[in-house]
Amino acid sequence: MKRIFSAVLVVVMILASLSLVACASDEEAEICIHTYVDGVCTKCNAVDPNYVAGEEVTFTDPVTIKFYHTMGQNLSDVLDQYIVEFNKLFPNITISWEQIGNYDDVKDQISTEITAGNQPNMAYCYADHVASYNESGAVQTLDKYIDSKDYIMVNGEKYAIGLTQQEKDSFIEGYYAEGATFGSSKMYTLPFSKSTEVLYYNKTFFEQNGIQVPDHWFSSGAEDKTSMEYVMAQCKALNAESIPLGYDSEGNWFITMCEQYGSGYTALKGEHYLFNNQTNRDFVAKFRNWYQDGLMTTQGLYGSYTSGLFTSTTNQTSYMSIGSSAGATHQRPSAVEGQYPFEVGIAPIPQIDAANPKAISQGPSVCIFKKDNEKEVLASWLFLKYLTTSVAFQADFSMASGYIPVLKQEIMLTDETFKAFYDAADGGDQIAALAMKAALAQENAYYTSPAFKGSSAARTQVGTLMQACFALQGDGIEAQIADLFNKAIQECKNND
Amino acid sequence: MKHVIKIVAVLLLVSMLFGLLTACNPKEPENPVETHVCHHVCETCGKCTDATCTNAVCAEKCAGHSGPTGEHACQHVCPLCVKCTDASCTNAACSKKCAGHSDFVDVAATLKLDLGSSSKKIVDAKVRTMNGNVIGYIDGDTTHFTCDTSINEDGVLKARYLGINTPESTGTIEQYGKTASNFTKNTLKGAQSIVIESEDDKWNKDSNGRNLVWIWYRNSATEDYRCLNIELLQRGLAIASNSANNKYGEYCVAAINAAKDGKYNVYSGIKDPNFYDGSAIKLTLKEIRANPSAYLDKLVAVEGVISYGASETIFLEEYDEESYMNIGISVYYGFGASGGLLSILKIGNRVRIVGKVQYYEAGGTYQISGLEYNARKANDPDYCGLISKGSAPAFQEISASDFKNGKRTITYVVGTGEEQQELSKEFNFAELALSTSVSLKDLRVVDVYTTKTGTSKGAMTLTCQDANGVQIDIRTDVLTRNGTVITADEYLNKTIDVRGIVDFYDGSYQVKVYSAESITVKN
Repeated sequence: MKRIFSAVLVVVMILASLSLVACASDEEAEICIHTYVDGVCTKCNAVDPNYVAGEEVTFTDPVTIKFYHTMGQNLSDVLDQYIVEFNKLFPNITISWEQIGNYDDVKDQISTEITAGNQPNMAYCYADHVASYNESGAVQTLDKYIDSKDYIMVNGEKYAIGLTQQEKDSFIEGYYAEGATFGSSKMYTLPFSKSTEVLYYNKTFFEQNGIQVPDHWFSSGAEDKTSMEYVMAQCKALNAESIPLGYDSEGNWFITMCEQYGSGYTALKGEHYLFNNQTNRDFVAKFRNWYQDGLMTTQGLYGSYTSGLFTSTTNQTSYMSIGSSAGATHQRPSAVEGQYPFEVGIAPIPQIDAANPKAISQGPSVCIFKKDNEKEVLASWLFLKYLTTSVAFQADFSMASGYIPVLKQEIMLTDETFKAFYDAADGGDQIAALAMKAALAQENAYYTSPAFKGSSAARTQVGTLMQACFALQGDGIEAQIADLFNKAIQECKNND
Repeated sequence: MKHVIKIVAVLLLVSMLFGLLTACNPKEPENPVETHVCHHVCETCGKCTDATCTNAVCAEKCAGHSGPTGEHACQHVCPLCVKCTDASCTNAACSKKCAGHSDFVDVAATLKLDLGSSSKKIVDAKVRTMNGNVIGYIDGDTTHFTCDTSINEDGVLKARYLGINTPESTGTIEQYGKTASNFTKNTLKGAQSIVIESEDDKWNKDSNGRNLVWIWYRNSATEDYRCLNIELLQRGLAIASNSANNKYGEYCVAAINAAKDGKYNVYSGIKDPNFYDGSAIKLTLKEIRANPSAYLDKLVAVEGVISYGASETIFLEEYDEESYMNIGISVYYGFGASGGLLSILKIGNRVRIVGKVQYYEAGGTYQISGLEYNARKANDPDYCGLISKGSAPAFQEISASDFKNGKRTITYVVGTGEEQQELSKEFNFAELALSTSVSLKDLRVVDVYTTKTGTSKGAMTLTCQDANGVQIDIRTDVLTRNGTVITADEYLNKTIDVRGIVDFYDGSYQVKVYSAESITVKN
């Protein structure tokens, strides 16, 4: 009897264990991606363990905020459409914007206005601009707004002032992280729209000649077919009149190589200028050889955008062009009778270490300036939050500008119009979408350089340095390169 | 009774005979009336604009025209603050009055040109012309000058003005773009002398190959030179562009601040009165071709079939029964056109084009550009859209004689509402056929000119004759085959068939060919 009882007990225990495993499996199969409202998930009613109830903020006072940017009319028209939408939520906030000029003009104007205390409320910025503004402590940190649990009643519903974890997670990580690269881990900016560098290549020519797309720079052997060295040589052998590779920005190239090698470019603290080292001199020397052998050119050496060479249909052409993802339509040859002379392919830029890819991130962020009237700062924050988290705005702005949206791909693809644009990507009419795809594909590779007074000048210096090194002639090239590096460092320090 | 009838019949017969004779032999009037021809016809309404003309033919006078959307258009706009300078005008549209500008800060007057400095200079520079036609006025911050070939191989200096950025007025049109462009053009036109100056001791170029320069001008030999770059900034016709970081940066910044303080033009907060802000005017291609200047800078909506495309341009045409030919216009979409827009701008598509009519000065022709497109509004009549697919481009066969000497008369509508009227006008065939697809057969190439320098190096002009010796020019782009540029010997002294687009260049009509496949060599 006991044996029977024991056997039954064992069976029951086994069955119970199996059912628990099944339950766990069921749970794993149906994990809820929570959408919390007021601390409760709207899908599964789970309670947000991090939820802290906020307070209602009354905000009905009329407020006007000034926004400085560089947008031309085609983009400010998009902005205006969304100001109308924003005002449906916040009719008391008037947005007054001004196209100042280019990014340096924005920085110069604001720098002057800060001295008089009449800077705008918010502005397009690059990291080095913010570093400069912060010498006067003019820029508002955003953490208290980002992390706020408070809310405003808008059209009868709670409108959260802060960013939910989901909203924070919706940003492309590298872009969001740029906002905290000022040494204190505090957030000073949110990303607005971005670009990167991509490799444009003549896909038709590559396919016709069995050439593979290069994914690293230097050959490890004679038959290293996906090295840039090998591919350039293949192109040159097929067309002796060609310059196989055009790279527009010498400065970007230098900085990106430093990141890819991990060899040192600049630092926020201590010695700022770290780029005078053997690794860097060595890669510059190799690139110089490429230039001297007619394998490569740059914008500075060619005299204009290298896209002109890439889109040429004569034998004096290039077959690869590294340039901004936002300039894709300029990297496409003109259609004749509706046909493009060749199809353009777009790939991530070559790397030193495939396991640790690095690609530059460019394009404006937005900062908010401190003001005596706290409501102005809050209004600026609400507008900035709206523009950066609105999928529709990011979609329309991106499609109009060619810049990359700052939200993750899977978020952007929830917008039907953007999805249609994205899905239609090709190397012809839809090249802007193709560039965006390539850019989003390398979103884990974005790096940022530390921002400090002098970081912008350093960028200019290394670009000039590269160009000067490429053009060197005569004996003792290594010594000449070393001399130019020394001079570049000195120029950087003089500009400090 | 019978007798009476006979008399009446005779009288009737005589009357008829008399009438017949006089009809066939009209008397010469004693005082013949010359038919008055109006030489001051308004291009918008067709009425006489000459208030002094009292002829009955010109009884109906043009009273001027209201603004783009029918509202009162101020005729006394201050060129600085854009407000009305006519104190007597009580129209609501002119409620904002200019108070005068006694506080105008003339920064340009404080900056002097040092002709002896080390910067590169061209003194008494000439705006680029071609066979007597000035083609160098591009927009507010770009002008093309002639220069020595030691500076630029093709003898053209494309000047991009340093430190400034004027609103766009070609391709895309922005508020105050045309105002800035006209200001630059009129200033240089009226100058007694122009000096081009580089930033430092060498000629520097931007990423588009244009020379970055300062432009100086003076109106008479006794005046100082004034810097046009600064002038544009201080009048609010340009915004900053690396303004602080150059040798005249201090003046640039001062000029910008002066314009902002004075609220001039782009800083006025007032919409550009010359900027068409209304809905698209629905037109036919015939109406635009017959009277393009009436629609200059206006937003138009027009339908047609795309016959061809090249160089970021498509050619739109429609068959006209009255003239039994195609009538069309070129549409420039530029490099910024989205994939969605490009997907509808395909050869053979019938499309609705919504854009602004512009005058392309360098080419001497009208085109549509600044296209309105929104991916979310594909069926909205205020935006470009696809109507249907599958229409075949015409490439209407014509003769050289027709091209050279043909005439066509068309009727077209001008004006709107009560001002609308129908006009009739005779055109040269080629003028009416501009921007349409044509084909010509059996042309003998008697001469070839090849462009030797510049971006068109290698392009050719084939001087051709038909069997009757009628001459016609075929202008090619740079033609290539397998990467090799095709040269003159491919066509010289050969007989060819051609398919191309009617084009206007340097004062003459020609047929433009964009690809080698459009020319068939027959022997």
